[in-house]
Amino acid sequence: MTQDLEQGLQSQPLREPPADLDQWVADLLNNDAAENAPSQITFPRSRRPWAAWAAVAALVLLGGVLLSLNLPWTAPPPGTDPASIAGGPIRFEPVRFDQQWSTFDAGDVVRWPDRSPVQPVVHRQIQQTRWVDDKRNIQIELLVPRHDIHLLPVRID
Amino acid sequence: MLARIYRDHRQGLYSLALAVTRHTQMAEDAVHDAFTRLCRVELSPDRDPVPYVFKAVRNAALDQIRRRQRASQRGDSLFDTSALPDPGTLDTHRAVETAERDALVREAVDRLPDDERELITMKLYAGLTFRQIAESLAQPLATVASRYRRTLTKLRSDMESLV
Repeated sequence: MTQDLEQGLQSQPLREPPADLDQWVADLLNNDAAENAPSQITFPRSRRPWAAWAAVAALVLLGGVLLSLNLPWTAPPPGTDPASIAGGPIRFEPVRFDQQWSTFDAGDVVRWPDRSPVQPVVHRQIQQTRWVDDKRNIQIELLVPRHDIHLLPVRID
Repeated sequence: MLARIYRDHRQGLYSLALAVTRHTQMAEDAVHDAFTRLCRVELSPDRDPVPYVFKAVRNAALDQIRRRQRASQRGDSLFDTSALPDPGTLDTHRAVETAERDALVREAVDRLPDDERELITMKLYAGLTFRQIAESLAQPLATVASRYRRTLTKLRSDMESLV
């Protein structure tokens, strides 16, 4: 009896969402996606402010070093002898790229919208990159914190 | 993720907004407002986002009612009968009977109190599980299930009284 009534209710023609509502929502979500599109240098969203400040600090430091060396900011004219450029070219080599700190935290198994079980694993790390110019005894260090969440499929028997 | 949820549940979300507001323009505005707000929040990856989205649409629909105070104009049906054949043009007795019974079903749903119409809409037209409805309405699962059964019983008796 209940099933008959449910089927009778479900068979009724619903008023459909108008096309302009679909368009509104599509525009809204597209705009939002464009605003949140990742830049060429991407950082996890939750740590973007921190990572951005670290990157800015490194760039400022790099700028200061270049200024202190009194290097020209524009390319020399064609045919210029490289040896005539004050101080010669800077050769920074990444001498070390290591991971200073990293942790993994596994969360509780949850159901994804398609009902499949997944386990979130939070990976926090700080990556360190160091450039060294031995000739001038200059070092530049960049620390990038990362906070990633990985969803691992779980098999439940 | 929001785009996918909208694509999969657009009919259910709109029907819920319409079930709450009983006004097509307010229902559209409610869905739009809800998604505008949802764009600004980050959905938790460890929870089913669907009940949260339905809850947001329901709240936006209730906001529409509070904001516009158009209770007297709220009479739009959940159903679209524009494409249905005129009962006068049906050629068999059985077809006429079915059309009349369907009209009674629609009328009974439209006459339900708001909370019961919302529940029927979420379960039958949006296809949510009791668990998702319970989460969306912030009510215990058992309460939602028993309210649904009671509403169906009430609908049946309402239809009989309309005959």
